[in-house]
Amino acid sequence: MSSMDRAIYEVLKEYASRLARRGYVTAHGGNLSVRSGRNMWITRHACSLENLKPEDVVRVPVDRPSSRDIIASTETPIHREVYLKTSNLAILHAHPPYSVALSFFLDELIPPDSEGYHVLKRIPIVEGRPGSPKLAREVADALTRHWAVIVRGHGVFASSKFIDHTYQILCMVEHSAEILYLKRLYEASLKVKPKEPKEF
Amino acid sequence: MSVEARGGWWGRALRVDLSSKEVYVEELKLDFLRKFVGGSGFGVKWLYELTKPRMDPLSPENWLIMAAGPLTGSRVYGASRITITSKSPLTGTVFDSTCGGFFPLFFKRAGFDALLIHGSSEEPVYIHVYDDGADVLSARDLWGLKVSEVIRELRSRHGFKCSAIAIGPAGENLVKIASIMGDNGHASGRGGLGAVMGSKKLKAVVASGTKRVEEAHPEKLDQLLENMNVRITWNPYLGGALKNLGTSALLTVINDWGLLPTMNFSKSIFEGAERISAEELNSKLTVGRRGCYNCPIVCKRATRTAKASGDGPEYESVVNLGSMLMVDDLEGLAEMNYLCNELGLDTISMGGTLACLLELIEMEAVRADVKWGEVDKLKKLIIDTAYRRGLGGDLAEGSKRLATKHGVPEVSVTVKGLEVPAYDPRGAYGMALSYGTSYRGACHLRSWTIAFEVIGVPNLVDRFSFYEKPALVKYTQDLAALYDCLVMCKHFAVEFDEEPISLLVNAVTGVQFSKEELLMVGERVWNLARMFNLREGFTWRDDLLPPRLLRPLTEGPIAGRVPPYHDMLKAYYEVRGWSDEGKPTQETLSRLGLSGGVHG
Repeated sequence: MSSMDRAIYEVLKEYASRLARRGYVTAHGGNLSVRSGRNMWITRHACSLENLKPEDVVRVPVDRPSSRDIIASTETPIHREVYLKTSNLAILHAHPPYSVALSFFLDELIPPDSEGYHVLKRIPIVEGRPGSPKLAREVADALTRHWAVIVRGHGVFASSKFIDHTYQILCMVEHSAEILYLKRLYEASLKVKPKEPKEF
Repeated sequence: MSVEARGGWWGRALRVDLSSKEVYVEELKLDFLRKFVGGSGFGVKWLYELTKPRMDPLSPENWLIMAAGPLTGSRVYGASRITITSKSPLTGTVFDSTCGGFFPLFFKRAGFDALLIHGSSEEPVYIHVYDDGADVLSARDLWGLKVSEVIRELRSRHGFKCSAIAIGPAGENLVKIASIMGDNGHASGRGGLGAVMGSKKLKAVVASGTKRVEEAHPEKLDQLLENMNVRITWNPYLGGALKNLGTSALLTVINDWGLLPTMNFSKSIFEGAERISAEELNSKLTVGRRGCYNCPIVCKRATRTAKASGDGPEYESVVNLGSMLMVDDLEGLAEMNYLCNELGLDTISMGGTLACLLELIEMEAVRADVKWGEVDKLKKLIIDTAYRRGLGGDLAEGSKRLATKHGVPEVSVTVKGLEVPAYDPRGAYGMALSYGTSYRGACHLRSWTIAFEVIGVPNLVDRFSFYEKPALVKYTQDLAALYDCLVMCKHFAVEFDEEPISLLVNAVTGVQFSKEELLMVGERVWNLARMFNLREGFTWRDDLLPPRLLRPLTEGPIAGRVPPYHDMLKAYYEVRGWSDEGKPTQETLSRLGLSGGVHG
């Protein structure tokens, strides 16, 4: 393992562990990657983000499929498409429950909280089969205009230049989804209209 | 059809006596079909019943049994395969080897489930199987031809809508690592079954059947195939790497993980791996894609070098003619592969035997002017092997006999005399048990735990764990044996276990199998094959790995790693329901319907 491989493994392990601790992924769900030059380092298929091992990170080219795709995440085509269409350098994909639950009812998530609204503005919701070329295109197109995108009934893709910023975005999406869920729950159960902030 | 099934099987087998040139047709009963299904099930069952212990595999008494399965020739994906079973001249074990391509389709369409060949001819012959019959025809003018020449000639004689399997000069010269070759580089490669054909003076079998294989529930099958197609597309191995890059897509990951047999298993990382990778093969030599009948994956590659053209090399050939021999010249490697295909040689055993020779030369046990990586000299040795010329005469016997002859048997990396394939078991402990306990010798196709231990399909299992490997190996062996009965391509086993397979079998045949019943067919065949080998005098000692594979490497990702093999083997016997000496207990045989000996 080169020093670059080792450094990237340590970074991915840290953020994979954070996603798992927050309950944003279950057992073997989710995947994450970072890009450097013509390569990306992505978590492997069927690994556990709770306890990422060095062999769970695979280096594959950004511009074309490679033989190492054989063990890479099944959503490698999505990561590849995002890196090809944007100048982003990190992608996190997780299955945070409030975002996934709300995606069954919405076509886009407008954050009700001030921070979410200011940073994210809106989060589009797209559809498609995990790993499919169609979904790869839709996610990548969305991420050219937004920080994050929700795949209906599946999970959230967040992407930016830096992995810590990407992690911040993903957490923010889920926080906004949770607030929206609670707000609507409260509204429906008490049958009261919420007091919307006059200005964010 | 004599059976109650409404599709899949014909319920008929052909018997050909090459000594008398007589051809018989026999009917197969439903209880036999249900118990042994087809392919390897038929082959192992008949070989056990029809042969006497300690028979010379190259004598007329040996049988060569070609059997299709109930799915062969149907619309089920990955089912254009046939199994060839015989007693191996290389290992002395029962030996089944499957072959894909188009021959299985044209054979099955002739209206037969199996072809049993016995005796031997005085003159070279070939068998032509057509609708409801077969002829034994002279092959005097075909003897000596290379594989592609024979197949081309047979097509010119019997029409374009036919396919053939044939031997090359290696099989004719009774080379113990001779293969039986099909169209487009497909092969029933291992165990020297080509020499069995050669001993019978049987140059080829050509099939030109035209009958449509019936499907009991075609509408149900339509739905199942639609679902099957989706699952193939989404499977990261089947619909991803295998489809996009072919079988050699495995090479870089296997090398990354330190599993790549290199320099006769003295290393497990090859510095030249990138130069012989799937990316290089696809970008520099590939001129087309080829597959078996009705396969949506099309994993084979037609290739061309500056000097020659042909098929492959596939992953196993890339490793055994590449890293095992320290060859990183992809063109040279491909040309060595073409030679093996044309002469009818098993690339795994040829590579393993050449690696053994190079080490013997290095340690001065053999004198010859050839070193690691010298492609042109290695090519000459491949040709000499096929014709048993000079040193080729020793190579033709396989690495075990070669190393033993020169007083250093430990240089041969074999189990039961069969050269070890392209995964170092020190880096994937399941493969250690797979190699050791395979009834035909070291084989990756009887339990490919690499799917679990490296690729992670259908699940990821720690490659260095061992407590769960005996059960995993037993399960994957039974599933693989079932696949060889059906007969299906084992790539598909990474996605389709006994449950979806049972639905497909039921839709095609109309016979209701539960998934447990089908998996038990695999287990039955596995135990019957074990009984054959025990009858031949094999013992638990023959399940041990060669000493080299139980010594740790000193560098690379698997440095210091060695599977606790004896503990794993003991646990495996227990999981199988075998005694501590590796013999199936009466209770196990009874459970499998093999009590009263194995004539049940």
